[in-house]
Amino acid sequence: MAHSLYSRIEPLFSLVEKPSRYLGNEYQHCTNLVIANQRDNNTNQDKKGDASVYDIVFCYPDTYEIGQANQGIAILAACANKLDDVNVKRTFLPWLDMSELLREHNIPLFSLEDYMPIKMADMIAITLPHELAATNVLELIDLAGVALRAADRKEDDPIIIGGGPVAFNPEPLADFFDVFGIGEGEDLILEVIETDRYMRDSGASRIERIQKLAGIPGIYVPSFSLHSADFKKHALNAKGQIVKRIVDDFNSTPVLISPKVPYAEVAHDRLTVEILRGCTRGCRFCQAGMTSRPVRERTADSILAAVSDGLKNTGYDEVSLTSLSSTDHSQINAILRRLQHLVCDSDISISLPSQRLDAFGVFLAQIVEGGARKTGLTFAPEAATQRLRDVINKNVTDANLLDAIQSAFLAGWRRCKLYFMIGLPTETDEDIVAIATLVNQAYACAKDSVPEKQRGQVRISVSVAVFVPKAQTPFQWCGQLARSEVQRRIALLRNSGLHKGIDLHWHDPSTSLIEAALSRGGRQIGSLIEAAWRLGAKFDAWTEQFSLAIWEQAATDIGVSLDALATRDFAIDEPLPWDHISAGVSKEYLASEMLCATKAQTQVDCSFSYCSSCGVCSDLGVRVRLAGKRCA
Amino acid sequence: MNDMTFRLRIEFAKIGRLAYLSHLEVVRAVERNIRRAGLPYHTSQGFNRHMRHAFGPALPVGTAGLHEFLDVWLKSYVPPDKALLALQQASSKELPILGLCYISQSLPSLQMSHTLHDYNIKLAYVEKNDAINEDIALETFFATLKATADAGILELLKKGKPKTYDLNKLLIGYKLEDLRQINSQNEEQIVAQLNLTLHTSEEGSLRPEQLLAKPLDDACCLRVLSIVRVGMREDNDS
Repeated sequence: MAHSLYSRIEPLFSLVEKPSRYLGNEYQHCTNLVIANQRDNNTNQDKKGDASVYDIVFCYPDTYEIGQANQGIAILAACANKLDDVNVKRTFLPWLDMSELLREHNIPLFSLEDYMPIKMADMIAITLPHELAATNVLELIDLAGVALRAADRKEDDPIIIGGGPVAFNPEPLADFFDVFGIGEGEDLILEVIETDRYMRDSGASRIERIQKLAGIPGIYVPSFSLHSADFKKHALNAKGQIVKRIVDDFNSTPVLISPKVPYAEVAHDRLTVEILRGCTRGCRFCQAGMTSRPVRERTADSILAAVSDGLKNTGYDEVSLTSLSSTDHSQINAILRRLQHLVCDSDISISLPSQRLDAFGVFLAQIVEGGARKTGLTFAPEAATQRLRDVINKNVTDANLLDAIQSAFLAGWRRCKLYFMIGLPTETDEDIVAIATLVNQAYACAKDSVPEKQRGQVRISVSVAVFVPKAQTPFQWCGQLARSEVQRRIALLRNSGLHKGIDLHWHDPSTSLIEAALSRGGRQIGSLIEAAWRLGAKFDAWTEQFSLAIWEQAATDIGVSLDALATRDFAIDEPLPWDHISAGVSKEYLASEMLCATKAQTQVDCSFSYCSSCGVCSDLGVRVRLAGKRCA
Repeated sequence: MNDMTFRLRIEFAKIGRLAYLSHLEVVRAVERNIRRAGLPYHTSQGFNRHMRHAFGPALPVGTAGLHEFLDVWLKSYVPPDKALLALQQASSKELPILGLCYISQSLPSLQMSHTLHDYNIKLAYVEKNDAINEDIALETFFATLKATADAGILELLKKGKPKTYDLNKLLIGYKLEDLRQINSQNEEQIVAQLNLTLHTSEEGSLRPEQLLAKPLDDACCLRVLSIVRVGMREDNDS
């Protein structure tokens, strides 16, 4: 019999930091949730005996304030909510203080909607946002009271499905999941729920339910070994791959205009409207750019309506127009003009993340303000020489950067952050020294663009990340730079004459090492993740929680080398651990892009010009869908 | 503040699970409620504009409030019944809007005027334990509380530094009610309730849990089940 855990959890609130992480009950303008209110007091109901209700819990493997901001969970939950008699719930990974108390009091992880153990659900859906969340995934499953490894799960255990960016190479986490969903989940999640509900209601066993799910396009069951007859139960393409799901007519999908409005201060605490999906700029290091193709835009009318309704429904004072490259939207100027009119004479601000240097002009500098202006602008040249930018296919120039800086500072901005990467394929010392030279030019340009009395307010900061090779990208064959060499290049940059007024920050090479070891790993990496988790690794993406020593010990314990895993080059014709997963972009295209990179040859963006033959549209039967004509 | 603004005093509650919100979280939630209601609120001018409002004294995390207040300034007049309906339709169940009225611009702020705070505190046993004499626990709790009140001074550590509270000014009254007989069948095992009136001013304030720390320590097996600020009043004597 299932019982709400609230009476046992409430006394813990006074013992933990930020109890609002665990309260749920957020304001939502309208919902067709079947859940909490009717079920809160229904403590004696055995949910598994209620054939009419299917319980699914969406989980994010980080704290509430990180996960609640995630659009993936919000979109999938909204889709699942359309189904009758489906209880859609959420949970997030409790912070260290709460997880310790839950274990001490023998309380399993619970859903925020009704405080029921998530183990009682029919399905647990876990978002896999990035490699450093791997140990958090294990912590979440363990706190739920479910066996860590799929092979050890019992008949009554929920089916655990994973999805998100990391699922494009699911092998490192394969041992811990029953099922993976590859690609966009709007349609997929509905098919998964309806299929599994039918099978459950038909009295199917757990393995029968999983086998049935395998037949849904985009579903991968990792327990079916690659060359077995079982593997053929998947919906495979002609190359024997599981192909990502995609929403072809993105503009027709509903926008989230009534999201739950959190009480706790969360990351990106604002209304978010996804204005386009996909990016074909073709940056060769970028996994999202390769896996989210093709580009599909919402129309200006639907965006404006969504912003207007969303602000009324939520009460937010900021709206963010999100995508991988928002300034590329074919109607962006019209959208921003109309939005400016909508929010004029109010305290509501518009933010536009992911701004490209070559698209940021005087108009954007004047119109985008509010929250963004408080913290400053961010641009990502990624590399400082034209040669290296051509290698990575960034397709921006020094002049683009200086023009953007000038426009921004003339329009009143006083802070700007510039992102660069080090350790990119073919990088030389000349490319490192050039970062200092280019940033110094940007700093001088910024100072020249503001009145003399305000020059003291000018702040330029530089953030340097270590290149992490990712699966499904042209650079998937390249190893990461060795740690010692990363350190040498950072030291070189620090001694390259950067103006003293410029703040320089760099990512910890240790965390990048773990990302690289996990991002291109095979199934054996699961043991490394589990060993690290058992030694205490969790919240690895939180700087103060990350411990390289734990990961090194785990690697030693299972007999692998982190450096070898991260720095390994794959031969172009060598089988890759993720070859059975297709993001639509052909391996041949990725290889040709890799070859172009070595020659510093650039590639076109098909949303601006002609088809680059990446294979997505022909293989997936989709096409680029623009709301208007894009102008470079 | 220009003459064309309208000062609206709003009464709300912070109850249920949302008693665990911090003051800043409550402020943000009520701001969003006001925006959802579509009230023509006044904003500050300048680079980062924000809603013009002033809340009453903050409630700590974990303390509920039945009659809390804030003032918000509107750019144009909205009939009170219409404003109330809009706010109520846009409010959370556990942060309900209870009422509102327009008040004079010249009235002092809530922080200055509403200085008497009435609390209701429910006490329960930590857990059933034969080794602890529950009958004595309540007596001990009350004796320590009374001794503290009679002494007129409370010394506590605040951020590691000793601080002295003048209870003659801060503690206006208290009354303990033994509920063991009434609530013997109660699932929550409420053994007593304490009604407390505290005074707050610019010179200082005292939270109920600070006053109760030593009595609870001495009583050993009692714990606070809930703290509710049941009202805020003006101190007419001062």
